[in-house]
Amino acid sequence: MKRRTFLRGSAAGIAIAGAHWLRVPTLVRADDKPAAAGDSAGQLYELTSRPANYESTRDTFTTRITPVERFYIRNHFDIPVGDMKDWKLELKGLVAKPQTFTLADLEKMKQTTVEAVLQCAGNGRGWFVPRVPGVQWRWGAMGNAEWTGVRLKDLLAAAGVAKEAQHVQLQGAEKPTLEKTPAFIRGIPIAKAMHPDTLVALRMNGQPLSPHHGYPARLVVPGWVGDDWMKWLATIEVRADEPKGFFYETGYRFPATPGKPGEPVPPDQMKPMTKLVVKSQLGSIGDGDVIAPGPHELVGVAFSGEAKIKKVDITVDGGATWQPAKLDAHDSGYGFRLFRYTWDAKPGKTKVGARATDSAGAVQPATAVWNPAGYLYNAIEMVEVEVRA
Amino acid sequence: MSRFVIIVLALAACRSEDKPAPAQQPVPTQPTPPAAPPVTIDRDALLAGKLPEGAPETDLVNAQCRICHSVEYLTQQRLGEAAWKKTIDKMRKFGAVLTDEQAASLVAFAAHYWNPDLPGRTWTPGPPPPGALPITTK
Repeated sequence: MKRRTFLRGSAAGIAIAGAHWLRVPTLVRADDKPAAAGDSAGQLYELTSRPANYESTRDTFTTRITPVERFYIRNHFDIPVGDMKDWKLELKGLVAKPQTFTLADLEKMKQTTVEAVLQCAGNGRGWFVPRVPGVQWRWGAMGNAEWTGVRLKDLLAAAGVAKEAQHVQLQGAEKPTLEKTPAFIRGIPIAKAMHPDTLVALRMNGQPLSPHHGYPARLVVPGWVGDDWMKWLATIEVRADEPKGFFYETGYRFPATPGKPGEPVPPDQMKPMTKLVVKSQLGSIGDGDVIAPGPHELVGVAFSGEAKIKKVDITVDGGATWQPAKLDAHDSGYGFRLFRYTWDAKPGKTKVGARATDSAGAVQPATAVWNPAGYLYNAIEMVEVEVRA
Repeated sequence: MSRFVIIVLALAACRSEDKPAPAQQPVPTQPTPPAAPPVTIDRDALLAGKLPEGAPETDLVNAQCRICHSVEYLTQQRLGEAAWKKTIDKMRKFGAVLTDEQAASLVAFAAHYWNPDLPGRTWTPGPPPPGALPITTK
């Protein structure tokens, strides 16, 4: 096995080009085998090839910014094909002047950059017990990028939003394969749509969006679940009532009050998800790793929806004791906060874990709130590690 | 459920070609509890995301589920019968064409192979899908 190059991130973060992924010196790798730095293969796990659902490898979570080629991909349907030069964004509904924007129109408008975590609501679904249906994501349906584009509030201002507006309904250019399958339609409340950090993004990490990430434009809703970040954004409809369609009225809902694990929840108790919850993820070490005794730098990322990360604690003894990790200075608010902890590993088997606390006082729980669709998994992950010479 | 057992026996008969055994006898590939029907697909193949060959339900999966989903969408699930029924009912609403009898047999089939007792599937990292890399054209 190739030894990893160690690279400490500066306060300004690690440059994407030529980035190296930090790993502890691993003797045996049990759960995955990411490619060596610079390799073009081995960057994502294929969970389903159609529609394309791919998750990031664990060692991706040792840098603050997630490169596009390591960024997870989540789709409900096949990605739209066709000549995107004809693409237009339509803004309609409860507005004084309905608008149509071409890509060139949007590029001419004032551009804003926001760093934010995009996380699929179902990230970690595969860990829920009792098991729930859906793509069985483990840790990898999340990433942090710099998103650049036009503020949605600027587009709404150009159209003139009516006083009775309460929601914006969102639809992309993707189409289900079968006519009877509902279209992917989502929506956010007008207050979040008018927030200065909510963008119609054209760029991701400085590059035009890739087709899998919604080229030419996608919504960026910082701090909120990924299902609101509509890709190939084609229609924005301002409404007084709530958005319509299966994926808003039934899908992507979370119990208002947690029920008994495995039990169905009455539909009227299911509410649309909004904010992400506090979470951390170890990137430099994984379940089943065998490492040599001596000092190891444990590295990972932490984030929370609309709150900041206040602290991350580390256990190297299965949760008996916790010690604070060092947080990197760079704190964008919505983005990954990198944490590091130097562990002087002694021979034997143990469990290593990270626990994040946010500025609102929310702490990662030992067990995530079970829910029928497996959303918002954020339990503390305990990885079993063996230390031996 | 009885229909399902017949399917399993038919499969076992197919497999007996490479593993000689008395005619009409199921050939478990590994020890199973006496009450459980014999497993007729190699466990490694099951964990690698393969479908049992020759079952009528496999034909239904190929003809209906795979219109929209690659097969891993099914084989990575680990669900009990109630959850499989809910999922297949949803897919019928979304356009899968199945008779009530076919749907019931598909529920039993899926819950037999891809239930919570089956360990997690193995993942292999590979190249990103076409189009995943940043585009450079204007």
